[in-house]
Amino acid sequence: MNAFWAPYAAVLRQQLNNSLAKLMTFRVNFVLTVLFDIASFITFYYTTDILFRNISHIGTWKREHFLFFVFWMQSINCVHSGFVAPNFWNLAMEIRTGALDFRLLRPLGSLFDVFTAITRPISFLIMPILVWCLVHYGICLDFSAVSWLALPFLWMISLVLLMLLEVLISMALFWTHGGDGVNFIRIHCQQFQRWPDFVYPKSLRFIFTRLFPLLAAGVFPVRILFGQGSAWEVVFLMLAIVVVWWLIGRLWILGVRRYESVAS
Amino acid sequence: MLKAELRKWQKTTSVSISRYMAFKVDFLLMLVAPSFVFVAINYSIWRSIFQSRGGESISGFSMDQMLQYQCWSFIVALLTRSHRTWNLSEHIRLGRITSFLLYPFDAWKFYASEFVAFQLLQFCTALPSIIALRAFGFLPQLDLMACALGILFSLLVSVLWFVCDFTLGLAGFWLEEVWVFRVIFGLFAVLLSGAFIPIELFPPVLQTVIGYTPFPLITSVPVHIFLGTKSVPIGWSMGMVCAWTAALAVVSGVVWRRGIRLYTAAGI
Repeated sequence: MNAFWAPYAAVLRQQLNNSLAKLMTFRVNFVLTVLFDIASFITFYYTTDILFRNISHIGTWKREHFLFFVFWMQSINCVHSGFVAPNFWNLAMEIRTGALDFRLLRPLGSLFDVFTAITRPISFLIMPILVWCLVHYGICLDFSAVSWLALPFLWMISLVLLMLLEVLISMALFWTHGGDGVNFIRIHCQQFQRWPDFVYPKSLRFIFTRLFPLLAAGVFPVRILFGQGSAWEVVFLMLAIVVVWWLIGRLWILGVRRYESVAS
Repeated sequence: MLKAELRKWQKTTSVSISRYMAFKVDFLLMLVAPSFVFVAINYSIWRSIFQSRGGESISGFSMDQMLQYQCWSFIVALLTRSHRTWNLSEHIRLGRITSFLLYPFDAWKFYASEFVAFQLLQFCTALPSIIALRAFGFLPQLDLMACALGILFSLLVSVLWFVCDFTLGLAGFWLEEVWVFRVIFGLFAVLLSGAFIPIELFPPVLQTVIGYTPFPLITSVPVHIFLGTKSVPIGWSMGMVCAWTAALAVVSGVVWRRGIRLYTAAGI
């Protein structure tokens, strides 16, 4: 098993080293990326804050519930921006230019290579602030000991499922030309996830919690932490991970079969 | 002379339109995505907020007024925020603007033609969207005068947005990546222009501060023009948009002249 994972770990380590070297070479970019993370943090915080200066609750959630959810999604987004996010645009470009050939030829799982080709570890710099915010609002909401213990596990489930869902969407890149449209849809999906399921109409709620669990991935774990969810929701999310993982595998094979290299 | 110049603009615009329409699924997705986001997010959230308050008004906004505000905010976003210079920095970095230095058609004119092409398509999307919103009862009886003024004002704002975007893109002369500027500007523009939360709901101090910036001109003012709010000083606001556009155009000219002195490209 170790022999299987070792090359992947080595490649990932090298990718991170390369990214760090690049970041240190272009120092202004380093500062700008940090500024971007801070700007996202400020705008998301103030959007919720201004909203709750005018209202006391939405559904059963108060200001603290919302802010906990905002930072939950922000912390997931932080890891997502660090590892996977830059690679969606890169995949679109590689399909367009034929550069994907070189990835398919490498003695490594192509999916892994495609979605870890570019890493941006600078995004992790803001992670301690987000973790502090999660802990702060967790204390405000009087989380039980069980909730605190379950938090890392539930956070991982959220992260894995949301990343896999975006990878699943990006498989459409094999069937479209250009790729900007698919990537815009993916970005809009991120905006969609930033709000809890109960603000949406029933039809959308059903589609995006049961059929394509874009909302469920973020809101189910948080609801469990608030003591408003049930255990089957965790089981559902774990099943969803398995199904989405399988679908990605199938669509990747179909997509690569359809892929016509421009280069070779 | 003028005829020849106009012909260049017309040809470049027409090529840009063909390019945007070339990848049909891609183009459709780019049109569908903002509409989906609007219907799914802004409209749903505000409806949900009002429903959980039993329909009680928020800072003078009734549920109907807020939902109409969100509808017009969506139309204004379609008409104003084009992002057509997103590849300018890449063109600078990879040395592709060299060709513009040789063509008898300046780089800014090329990007402006692309912007005009995209605006024409956006305009063609916005009009059916208004009709659809009215037909499905999201908007009340349309005041044609207010609509015409709102569209005119939004198109003026789109020029301001383009000049701003172009100026940010010119940072590519000094930096490897400039998407950060654009995204940060976009994030603050959505929050401070009242695109999601009307400025009237902001704390009074913040409202005063925002009043001195061009942000309200981007969404709040055009939305109120569409809504037919009497208190909006349309002439003054149009003057402000023109003044900000002119100021940014001067800045962009200065930045371009400084940047082009630094510019080097492989193969020259």
